[in-house]
Amino acid sequence: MISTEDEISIDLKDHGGPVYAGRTKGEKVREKYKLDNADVTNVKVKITIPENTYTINSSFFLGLLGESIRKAESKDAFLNKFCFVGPEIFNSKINDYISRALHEKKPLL
Amino acid sequence: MTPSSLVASPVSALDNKGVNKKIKQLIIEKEKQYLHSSHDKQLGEFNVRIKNLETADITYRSKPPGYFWWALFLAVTTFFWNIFLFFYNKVKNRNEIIDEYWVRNIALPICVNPLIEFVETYSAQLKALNLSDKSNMINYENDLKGFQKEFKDEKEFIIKKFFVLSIKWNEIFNVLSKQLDELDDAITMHCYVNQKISNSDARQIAKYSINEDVFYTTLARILADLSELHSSEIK
Repeated sequence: MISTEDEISIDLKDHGGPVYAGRTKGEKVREKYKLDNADVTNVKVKITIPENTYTINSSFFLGLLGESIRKAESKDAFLNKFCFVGPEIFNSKINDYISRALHEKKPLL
Repeated sequence: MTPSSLVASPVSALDNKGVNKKIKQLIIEKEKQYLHSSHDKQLGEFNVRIKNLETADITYRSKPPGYFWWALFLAVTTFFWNIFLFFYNKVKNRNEIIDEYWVRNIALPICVNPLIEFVETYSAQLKALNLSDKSNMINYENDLKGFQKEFKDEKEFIIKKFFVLSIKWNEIFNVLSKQLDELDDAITMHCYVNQKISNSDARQIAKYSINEDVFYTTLARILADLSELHSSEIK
């Protein structure tokens, strides 16, 4: 875990793997890095996905970052703060998960 | 008999006898006085009668007829019946919008029917995979990978269909998507432990391996949640 005043670095290899699944597991990582505090400051967050990752499931991803996405209120605002480093194969999945998190908000009607 | 008739003949007699005009004038004055006093008396009687009428108690105190109570009863009943109908129709219209539009036209065809089809398709595929020949591990692993990828893509597609429900019922969208996530986690672990790359031992394989029942359990939970939502919305 590398954490400076300006950036928090999260390497998923420190948190199990190669299967990243389960909302509670994601929430535990979120708590460990105090991402709730990071959401309200200008700190950048870098998330490293290991090369040998089998899968990152939506449950883990949304447990880890769902609240941050909703607080950012848009995909662009979220990706300005959080950056992902790792196999490109996960990029499309991450985009889908971000869209989902944005829908888990208050109803329109 | 009027006073004028009493004095008529004496006046005529006097005229005939040449009585002077002064006496005649006097008689006329007397007659006028009598007429005035008679008029005053009549006017006084008239005033008394008017006064009596003004002070008289002329309030209508008779009992209302029997049909009056029926008419009153009908009027009150109609009034409350109309109030009841107003609220009844209001609730009925609201329920029709939820039931006819949101449930029958949106939730069932767009979300629930594709979900049932999804469950039927992939539960059958998982069953076939579990029953397939595992002696050729390469083929089996490729089949698992193919199944998993297809399942995940289709699951995300189903969740996107549920986005339309989030417009009205955000909570139910969150609950349903989490249940599909749990199904995804179970499928992921099943596929992973059953592949050679996992180096899983028999204990782990037994722990995470699943059969097609998990699909129907998830479907039953989702339908129960939708049913509960429907019951709570329809009042």
